[in-house]
Amino acid sequence: MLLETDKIIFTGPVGAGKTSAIAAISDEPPVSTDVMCTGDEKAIKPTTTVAMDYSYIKLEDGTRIHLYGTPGQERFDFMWRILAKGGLGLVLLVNNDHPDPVAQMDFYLDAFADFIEQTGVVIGITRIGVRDQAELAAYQERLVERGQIFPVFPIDGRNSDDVADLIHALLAILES
Amino acid sequence: MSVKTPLLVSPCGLNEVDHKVFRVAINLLAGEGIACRLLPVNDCNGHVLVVDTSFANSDAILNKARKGQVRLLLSNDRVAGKNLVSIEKPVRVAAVMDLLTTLSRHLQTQIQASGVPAPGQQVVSAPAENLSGIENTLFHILYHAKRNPQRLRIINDGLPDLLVNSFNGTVATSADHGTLESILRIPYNRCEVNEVSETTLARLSKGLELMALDGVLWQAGILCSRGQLLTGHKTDVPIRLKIWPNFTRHGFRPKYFRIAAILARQAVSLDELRRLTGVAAEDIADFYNAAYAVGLIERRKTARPRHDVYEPQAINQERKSLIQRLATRLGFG
Repeated sequence: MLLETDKIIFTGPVGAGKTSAIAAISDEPPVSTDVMCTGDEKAIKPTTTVAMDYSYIKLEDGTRIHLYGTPGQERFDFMWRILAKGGLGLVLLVNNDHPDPVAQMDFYLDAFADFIEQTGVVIGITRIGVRDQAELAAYQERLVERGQIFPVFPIDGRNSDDVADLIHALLAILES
Repeated sequence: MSVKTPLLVSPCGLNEVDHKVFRVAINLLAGEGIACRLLPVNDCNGHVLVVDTSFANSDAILNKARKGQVRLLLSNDRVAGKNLVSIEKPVRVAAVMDLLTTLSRHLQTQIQASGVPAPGQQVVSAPAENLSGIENTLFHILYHAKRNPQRLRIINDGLPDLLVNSFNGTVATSADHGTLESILRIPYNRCEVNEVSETTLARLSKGLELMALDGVLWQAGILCSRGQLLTGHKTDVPIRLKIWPNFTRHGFRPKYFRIAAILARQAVSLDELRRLTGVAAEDIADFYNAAYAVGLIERRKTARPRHDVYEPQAINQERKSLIQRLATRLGFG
C-alpha cells in the first residue's frame, strides 16, 4: 500500500492538524496509529501519530487517491521518505501557535526538498487569527528569502472547504 | 459625489450650556468631514430649528418655523409630527453629533437646492462627472488609499461605514462578509468618502471588527473590476507573482488557482496567460487588478518573445488524467 503512487502526503509538526485535515476531506474516517504522548509533546496534545494516518478519496471510476499523514515527531522521520515515495504532492501544515512556526516551515521544506522539487507543495497555517494577512506575512517573507513561491493559506484543519483549497492549489501546481 | 453644503442649525431657543454643546458637536463633526454651521441666535432660517421646549417663548419660535424646516426640540416629553424630532435633556455632545449626522445625510437634497456656498470641507477629491468603469468604484478609492496613506470614512447609504486606515493597513466595520460585498459593489459616486483625523477614526472604530486592508482591497478588485484592467496597464507586458495570493477567505474563484500556478512559475503577459490557462480575459483582468493592488505582481519592462515562454510540460498522460479526475471529484474541474 505504501508503494502506491496515487497519494497525497500530509506532513507537519505535532498538533498542526494533519489528522483532522485528512478526516475533513476523505471519504472514510482516517485510520490512525495514535498513542499517548510521553514527552514534551504532551503539552501540545495528548496523543501523537507514530506511523501514519491513512484514508482515501474515491474517484468515480473506483480509483483511490490515498491520503497519508506522516507522524509529526522527528524521531519518526524515517517514515517520511517511505510515505512520500512516488506521491503526487505534499500538504504541509504548520501550527501558528508554535513559538517559532516559520522555523518549523523551514524544517519541513528542507526535509522534503527533493520530493517538493519533483512534485509540489502547499502550506496550510492552522490556528491563525482574524488578522490573518499580517500573520501570514512572516511565512511569505521567509519563502521570498528562500527564493520559493508556494501557496500559504490560513486554514482550519477541520474545515473541508479550507482543506479543499489546499488540494485545489496543489492540483493547479501539478498541472502547470 | 459632490462637495456638500453645510447643514445650517438655528439655535433659537437654547440656554448657554446647550448652545455650547451644539457648538462643540458641530466642531467635532467638521473633523469628520460633516459640514454643519451654527447660525447666530437670532437667525431662525436654518435647515434645523433647535428649540428648548422649557424656554419661555418656545411656542412662538416654533410657530414661525417655515415649511420643510426640521424642528429639533430639546424635551423629555414624547413628540410626534412631520419634520419634528426631539432630543432628551440634558443634551450630550455625542447625541447631537449622531442626530446632526443623520439629518445632514437626509437633508442633502434640500441643502443642494438652497444653493448655500460650502465652507472648506475636506473630502476625497471628487471624481469627474463622466467617471465610469473602474474609476467609479470603491476599489479605486481603496487602491489609492493604500498608495497614499489616508484615514477615510466611507459612508454607504443604509449600510455600515467602512473606516479605512491605510497608515496601519486596516479597515474597521460592523459589516459581515456578505454585507461587505454589497458595500464594495456600490459605485463611488453613490458613496460619501471623507478624510478624517486619527482621533476621529479611533473613536468611530471603537468596538468594530478590524480587517486587513489588503483582504478588503483584494475583494474589491475582484468584485469591482468587471474585466477592466487598471488604467495604463497593458496585456502584453510580462508579469509574475512575487507571492501566491492567500485570499482564499476573501473571494477566490476556482480559476484563480490555475492563474496563480502559472504566474508563480514564470513571467508571462496577460495575453500569454489567457492562452496557457484558457481562462477568459475578463477573469484574468479581475485577478490581475486585485493581485497588483495588494502588491503581489512584479512587472517586467518589455515584452518577451513567445518562444521564451515556458509551456507546461507534457506530464505523464495517466498522471494528468488522474489529477483532472481528482479535481472533478472535489468539485474543482
